Amino acid sequence: MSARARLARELAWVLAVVAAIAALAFGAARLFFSRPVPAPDIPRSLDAGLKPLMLKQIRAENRLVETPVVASAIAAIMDRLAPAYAAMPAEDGGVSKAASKEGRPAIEILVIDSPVINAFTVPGGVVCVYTGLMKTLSSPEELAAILAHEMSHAAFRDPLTQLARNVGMATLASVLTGGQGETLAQGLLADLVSLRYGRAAEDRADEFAIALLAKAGIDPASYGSALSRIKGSNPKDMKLLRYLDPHSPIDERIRSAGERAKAADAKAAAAGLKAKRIAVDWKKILKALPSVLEPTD
Amino acid sequence: MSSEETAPQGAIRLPQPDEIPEREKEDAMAAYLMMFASLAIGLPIPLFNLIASFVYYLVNRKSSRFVAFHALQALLSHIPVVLLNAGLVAWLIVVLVTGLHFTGGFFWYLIFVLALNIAYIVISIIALIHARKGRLYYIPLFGRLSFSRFYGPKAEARQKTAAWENRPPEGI
Repeated sequence: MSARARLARELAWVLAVVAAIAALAFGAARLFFSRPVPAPDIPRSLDAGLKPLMLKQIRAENRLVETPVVASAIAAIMDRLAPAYAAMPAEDGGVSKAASKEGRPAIEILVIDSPVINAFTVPGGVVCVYTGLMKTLSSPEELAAILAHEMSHAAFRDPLTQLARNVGMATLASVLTGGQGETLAQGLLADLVSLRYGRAAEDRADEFAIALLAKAGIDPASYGSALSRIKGSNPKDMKLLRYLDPHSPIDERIRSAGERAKAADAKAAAAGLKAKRIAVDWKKILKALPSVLEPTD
Repeated sequence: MSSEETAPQGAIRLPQPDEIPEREKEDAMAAYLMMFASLAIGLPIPLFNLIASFVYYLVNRKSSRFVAFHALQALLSHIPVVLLNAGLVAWLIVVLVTGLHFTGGFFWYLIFVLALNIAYIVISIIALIHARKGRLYYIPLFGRLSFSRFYGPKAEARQKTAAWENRPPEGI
């Protein structure tokens, strides 16, 4: 064999090894960072068991708004959303198993007195909305849109998935380091993994929410307008922080919300359905919210 | 293939481990250590660390064939790794500056480059130990290229043209 042929053979070997590493890396990337989000194989009884604990914790750490005016407004919104939520076909969100109708947890809404512009869901179907977010919104339909988004997390058990993943990551980290605690690199890896999964769940929740609004006879365009309100309330857009946010950039979300709303409208028009406003006096609700803690700009 | 290309590299006698001075063994080992240092220091701007590696090679290519062989082998094997690392840094900067997303492709590339770096470091450590013991160790492909540069059939002729004689300026 000539020197040149041997060189060519070694080149082929090196390229083959590099290709093998690339293929393994592709497999690893698929394993850790891909969508769709798998439903956790955790018994549903755990959700039910966690719910009272979560409620107790939230009540202990926050001041809830439970005035009759606010409670009746939430009830009016849920009167529209709850039947649609129960009737949402399982495949609408992508992973049918997680959102099967039988296992879908009943939703309980809590309003927390805080200037934070946010809403979140904890295992067991408990959705919490901050008054800061409610003050940012301009109609009950927009609040319904936010609640619909959170209801997707409840339906797909995203908080429990997140919890299970964090526990798994912590365990992995302690195995790797011999129980010496999490190093910075492992913490970063865990963040990246949960960010990736989190973003998939958020995108799915956006999609689910608009389908849910349309089913509930609420104008699906209110989803985009709710996002716009949230965007408007956050003028200080910290560029770097965006990458740690599991949500897609808000402009992108508003854009795709508009497109989905149009599609949902067309579908509803074809079925002869018409969106109806929610019978809630929003100004009265805003007045009824505690104003001690105003958002500080 | 012609018969000249398959000719044995008999022109230059290969040095055996016990004939190589300690100093040269250490210099050869330092070539690989240099790559590690530049890999770590140059990570934010990966292409710059190639300059350090290249300078080390330039300084040592005339000193002794054994040192020059290892310096070139270290440099050659360093280049693809540096280019891939540069790609990773560039991708990261593009994502951060333009506000694009970390896609699945990015994570694939991240794992790929990390694995290649680990493989590169392992191979370099093996080569480094051999160099310290005065052995000619060939990393696949790069070892062959480097060998033909310094011990190959045309190596002797190359060195003759590179000779330099110090002379006074003209007219003195």
